[in-house]
Amino acid sequence: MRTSPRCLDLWDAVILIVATAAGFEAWLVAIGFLGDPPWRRNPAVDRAMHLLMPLLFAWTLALPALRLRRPRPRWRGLFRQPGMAACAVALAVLICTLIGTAQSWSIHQFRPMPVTPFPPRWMSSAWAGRLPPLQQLGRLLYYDGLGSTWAGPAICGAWLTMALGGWWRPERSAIDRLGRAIGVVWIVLSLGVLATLAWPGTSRWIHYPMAF
Amino acid sequence: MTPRAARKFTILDSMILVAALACGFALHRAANSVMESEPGLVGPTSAPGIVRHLRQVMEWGYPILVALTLAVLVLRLRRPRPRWRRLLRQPGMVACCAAAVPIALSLVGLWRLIGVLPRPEPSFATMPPPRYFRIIEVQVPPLGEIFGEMACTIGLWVFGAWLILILAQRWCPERSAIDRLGRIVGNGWILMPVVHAVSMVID
Repeated sequence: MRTSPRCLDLWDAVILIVATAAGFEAWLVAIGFLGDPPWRRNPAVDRAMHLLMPLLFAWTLALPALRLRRPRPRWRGLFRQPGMAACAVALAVLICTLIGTAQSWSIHQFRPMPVTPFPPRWMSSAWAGRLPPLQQLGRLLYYDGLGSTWAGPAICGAWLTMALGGWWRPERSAIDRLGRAIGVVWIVLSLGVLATLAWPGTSRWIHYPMAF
Repeated sequence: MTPRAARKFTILDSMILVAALACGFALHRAANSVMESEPGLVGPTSAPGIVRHLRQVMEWGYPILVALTLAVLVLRLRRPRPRWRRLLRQPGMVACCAAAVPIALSLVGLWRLIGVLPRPEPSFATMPPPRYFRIIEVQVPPLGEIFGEMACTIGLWVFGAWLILILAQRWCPERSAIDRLGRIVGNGWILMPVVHAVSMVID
């Protein structure tokens, strides 16, 4: 039996406002406490990520909360909606990434800074060796954990599977539309990062040691 | 309707697999001709030694998995095969379909990267370059790191595809060699980000 889509109510609005406020708060804390972002890739892409990441993460957390409030579709139907699928997959990837980043910090916080043209991931936050430990962890979680954009490829895989399998069932509701928008933004951010990998001029793989 | 019996693995299937593996080795050789492999192992129990081991796993894993993914797709699409909707509930087929798109993108990226790197000079090139050429030194990370990053993206596509298959309760594996092979390939791709992350943590 198909239920009619749920409209946004006051509680949904409260959850969204709290998530947005938390995202902005994280951004303000990052500006004041964590210092400048490490410009590892294209600066324009990094700046966009720096602004968007906390907001996007907060909304990715908030949307499943909205979707799981009653009345809601059955469990099987829930994950056939592209919005919910995108948020669930993104959340799984982000949690794994944040745990991995915190783990790498716990191993490396006492190491000296290596001198290398291709610094390892945990060193991408520039002065990791000179900052207080809490600030190091904050930089790593914020810039490397949230900024890794690993959620985009996973959302692509999930959406491709749903589309090819014939179970892409978007709901005509604000909640699913918001989820789809969040998925699209994650994918666009990942594509922006991918474009800077191998493209001459912006590549972070190719280093030109001589000035020319 | 009772489910149709799974297709047996034939000699033609094994020939396709062997040809695909040969293409995988050729891809590694082509990339290795312009980009350097990890240097030889020094103290395999030390941290740098383990990192080099892991990067070699990625360096060889990427081309072999690319070849196997495309081979499993071909094998799975040979007749007799289940209907399309049923096919796309099999985790092996889903993994290969999900991996095919980022594989194509990564091969384009690799092609472009190889395009800007200097080619090895042929042995008969004895003339020095003309003076009006400016010599540019280009540095790229070892092949294992580049392949590792590409394999990470592909692994995440497969991870997303399998996660949504499980969450939507559409995970229906087939008891056949082809689907098992597909699942092995999918697991291989999902292991790649883990290997990459571990190598970065140890490095």
